[in-house]
Amino acid sequence: MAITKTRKIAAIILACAAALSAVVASTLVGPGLSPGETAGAVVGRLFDGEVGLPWGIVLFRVLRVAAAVVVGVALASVGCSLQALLRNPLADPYILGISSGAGFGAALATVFGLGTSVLGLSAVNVMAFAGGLIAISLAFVVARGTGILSVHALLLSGVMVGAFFTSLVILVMSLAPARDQHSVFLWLMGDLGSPDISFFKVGGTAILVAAGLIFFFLTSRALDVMTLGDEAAYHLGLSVERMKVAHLVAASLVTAAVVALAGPIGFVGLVVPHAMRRVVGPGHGALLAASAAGGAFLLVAGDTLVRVTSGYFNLPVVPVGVFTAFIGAPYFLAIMRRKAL
Amino acid sequence: MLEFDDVSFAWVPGGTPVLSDLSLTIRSGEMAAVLGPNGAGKSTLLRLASGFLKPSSGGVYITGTSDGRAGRREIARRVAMVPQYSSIYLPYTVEELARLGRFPWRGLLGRWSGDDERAVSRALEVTGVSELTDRPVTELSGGEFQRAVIAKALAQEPELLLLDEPTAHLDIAYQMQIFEIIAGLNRDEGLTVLAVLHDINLAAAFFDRIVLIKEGNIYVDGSQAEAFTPENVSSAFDWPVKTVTNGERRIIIPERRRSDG
Repeated sequence: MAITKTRKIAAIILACAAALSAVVASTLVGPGLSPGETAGAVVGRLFDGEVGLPWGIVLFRVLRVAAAVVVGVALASVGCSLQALLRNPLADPYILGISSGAGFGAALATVFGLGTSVLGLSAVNVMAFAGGLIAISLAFVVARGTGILSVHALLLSGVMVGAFFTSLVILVMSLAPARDQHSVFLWLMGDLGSPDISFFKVGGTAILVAAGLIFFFLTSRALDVMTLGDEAAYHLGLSVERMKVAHLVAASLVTAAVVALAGPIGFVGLVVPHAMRRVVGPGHGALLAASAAGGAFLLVAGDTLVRVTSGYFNLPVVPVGVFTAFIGAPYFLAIMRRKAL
Repeated sequence: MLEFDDVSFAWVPGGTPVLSDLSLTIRSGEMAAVLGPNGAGKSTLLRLASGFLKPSSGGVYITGTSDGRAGRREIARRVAMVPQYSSIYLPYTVEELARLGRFPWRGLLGRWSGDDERAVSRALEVTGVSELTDRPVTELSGGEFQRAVIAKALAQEPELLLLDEPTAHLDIAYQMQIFEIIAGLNRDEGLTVLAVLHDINLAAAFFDRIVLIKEGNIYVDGSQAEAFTPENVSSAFDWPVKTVTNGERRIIIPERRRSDG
């Protein structure tokens, strides 16, 4: 029953191995190119410099897998951080309004038909990013206005701001033509296969996510201390308010970046840290590592599943957010039944 | 060790003061209990002592530091607080919890040292939870849990231990156990103790120095003999009491109201 250090390390290694396997599998598998052909294309490129259609397909898959890894790691680690910060095991990266704000940004960009803007980033990317940050900044300012930055105030203002922006999204959609409604709707489910994905976008997001992850690791002890309560954390010498602000900034930037890249994919940030906590315990150093690996695994596996089944049945690709919801909701129901929430 | 210099405190600036012009000095090595009716300001006094609250006027000083200017970490290395209720909801083990008590010494990135190991082992041993080290704190009984929380506080290796009704919801065995531990630390290691208590007889059993607070200020401050007179206690609490001495132990008995008035 006791979670020993060995068990923690083993779990983290297993999660990383699972993520890696999923990455390899996802690159090999999919419509258009059999695993054998994929391997052949890679070998051909590496040794003979062959750059044909097969290689192009491989690159596309690699890009998509890379996006899945980046987004999975980001959402799971932010979920981890926010669940500690807000002392709420039901917190997820979107709880403070980011997804709603980003959705509003994306909806505006779609409806107004704005084309590619800055640095190869589409209008949707940029406005989703901006919208997400605006929403959480608003939530932060409202919460701060109540005096101290209490967890209670943050949660309330986050939910309110989120609801407000959601209503704006619905407003925009209700006034938009059918084609735009469809686009926005698909975006809101979260999709890793957006046609204007690029190495630049994924790479840029990856750098931001990596920086955020490093920050979370460096402050993982503070997260442990913060779960004891604001007063207890103060009495242990932690600058609680400063740490909260720093975490909120890091969490916001990371979340807004991945939402801008792939839309608001749900449940990863909620379920992965939760599940990992039961395996590696509440210590946030191990929890972050396990969650990051677990998030990558979940999203890569999910995206592969969605891609392959869509290809097999000749259907349009279902947004990966559907998969994560299918996994996430029953998981929570199962936990609640066992009263281990 | 700890000094309150003419301290007043109100939750809202200019509002009703919870404490007014309170001055108090706790000397190093003392074991003092703060008692008084509900709402008198006892918990507030403790939180001013730890620096969690800042006085509206006057100053709170911990020896050698001017409280406001000492960093939070420096204070946390010298002062530890045991609250009445700990809202710990994650299943940290008893040992993991005690290790968190080393945070003021380690910070975010400090490596685990021999000093840290010693402090934690000692804290776990003194509080008698060494056999519970791998148990999640969320599965402990009330007394075990409170001892684990005290272990965390002791792992900080404080010079001053603040306790806010640490045994309010525990049975007499746990109450006595916990205060025997604290009294032992005070006696053997000179740990300065300041505790807020509701249980006047518990205070009488363990504490040499009694501070009676009433309506935001000190009513009586002195030894048990000085503070625990029937007149003082009855006035402070607005309820008639008798005192009885049983050998060395003083016992305060609140009187029953007769049914006929």
